Amino acid sequence: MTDCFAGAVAERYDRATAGEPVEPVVDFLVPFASSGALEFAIGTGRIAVPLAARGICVAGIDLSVDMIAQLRKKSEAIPVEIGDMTTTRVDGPFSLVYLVFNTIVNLPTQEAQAASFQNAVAHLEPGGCFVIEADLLPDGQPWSVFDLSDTHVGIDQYDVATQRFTTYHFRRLPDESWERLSVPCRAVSHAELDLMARLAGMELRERWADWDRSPFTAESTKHVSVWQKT
Amino acid sequence: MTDWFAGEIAERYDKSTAGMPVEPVVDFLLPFAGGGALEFAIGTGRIAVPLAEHGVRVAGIDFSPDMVAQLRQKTDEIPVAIGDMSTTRVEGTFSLVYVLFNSINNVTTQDGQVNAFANAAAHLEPGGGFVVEVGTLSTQPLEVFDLTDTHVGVDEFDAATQRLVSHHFSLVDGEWRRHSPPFRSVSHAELDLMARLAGMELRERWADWDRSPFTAESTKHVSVWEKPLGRGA
Repeated sequence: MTDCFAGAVAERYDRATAGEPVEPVVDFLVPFASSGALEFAIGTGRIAVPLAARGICVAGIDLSVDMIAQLRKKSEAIPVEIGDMTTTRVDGPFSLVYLVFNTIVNLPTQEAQAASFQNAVAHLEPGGCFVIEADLLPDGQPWSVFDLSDTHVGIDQYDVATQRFTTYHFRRLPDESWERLSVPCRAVSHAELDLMARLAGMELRERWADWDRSPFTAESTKHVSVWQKT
Repeated sequence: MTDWFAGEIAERYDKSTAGMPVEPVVDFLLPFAGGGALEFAIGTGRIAVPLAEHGVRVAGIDFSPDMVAQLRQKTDEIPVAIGDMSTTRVEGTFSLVYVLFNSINNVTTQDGQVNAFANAAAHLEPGGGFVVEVGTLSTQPLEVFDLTDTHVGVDEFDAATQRLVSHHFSLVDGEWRRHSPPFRSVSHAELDLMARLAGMELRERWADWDRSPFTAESTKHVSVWEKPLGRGA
């Protein structure tokens, strides 16, 4: 797999996500994490570092060496395995495995997404939970613009038959030149995730529209779901 | 469970579906049916009767006694068990199990649809195929799917639950009647996972019975999952 988070992406990741909520995520996760938490795609530790600051024993898996280098500037205490979240193992088990910020779609096939559920369950103690924050399926438009500013244009190109999509970022650099970055992804429905959980021996315990436990409805644009190892 | 095909729905079913293709469906199914065919939601035998006329041993499962009464007016040769396709068993194994024309959507929960795949696999011999014809996942909360002088069709869809209600307004004997059966819309990607839960894998996916390519523009699909040959086979 290609590391889409290498180099400059990793360097500016925390700044680019500075507006994203942290405390509501940590508040949601803490009650599940009494026997330790494993974050898939831990990245720069945007969530893991404040979770560890609450006294939780946190470990992580990430594909990107450069993202982990950012995490290491904040903490040496969080062990991280470099590798992909479908196969990489760490010492456990944990009462919580979690995967936030729609990162499941970075696994570009249904097979790989299903394998990440198998890997989650392999790290969970019985009764432990797997928490995912993910978007819903796109509306089926082949192209959609999700951001348009003076310094950044974001475009998704989507194929409803394969559910594959490519996210294109056009970003203006400090020298006024532009760079293009494309990331291959696969959109996934909440209903599909429930079946992947079932294949892995888990069942749905909670589903919310957001970290504040607002109700999940047909108007929701994302979901926070909790599956429990049976 | 409610029988949404009782009474006059069953009585006028063949007339209301008279424009639907039959031969392309039968032509597609025949090569799979060498070891016999089982139809889930066999109904009035719209497909099963012509398939049996090609020399295939056909059996069926259907929830609606009134629909099967229509089938019985055509033939006594096709055995049918009354019950839902998620749990009802018939005798024997088959090289083909099939469910057409969105009938998998008549199973209104994901659990029920998962069980329908498990039930199909239980009736298949190793190497057998499960063929499903169904529309792609709904996307619009409200969608008009038909508008003629005698029929108006409106689909109402909830994206959170994938529950779909098809409201049919039909002009019958000078009177408008409403019929609103519930369904569960399901994506092809979900069906692949249901197949996997049942130990089957995708073998073919087409946009229609003519084996045209399935693309982002397709509004339905014809999919074939295979029950693997057993170890040592």
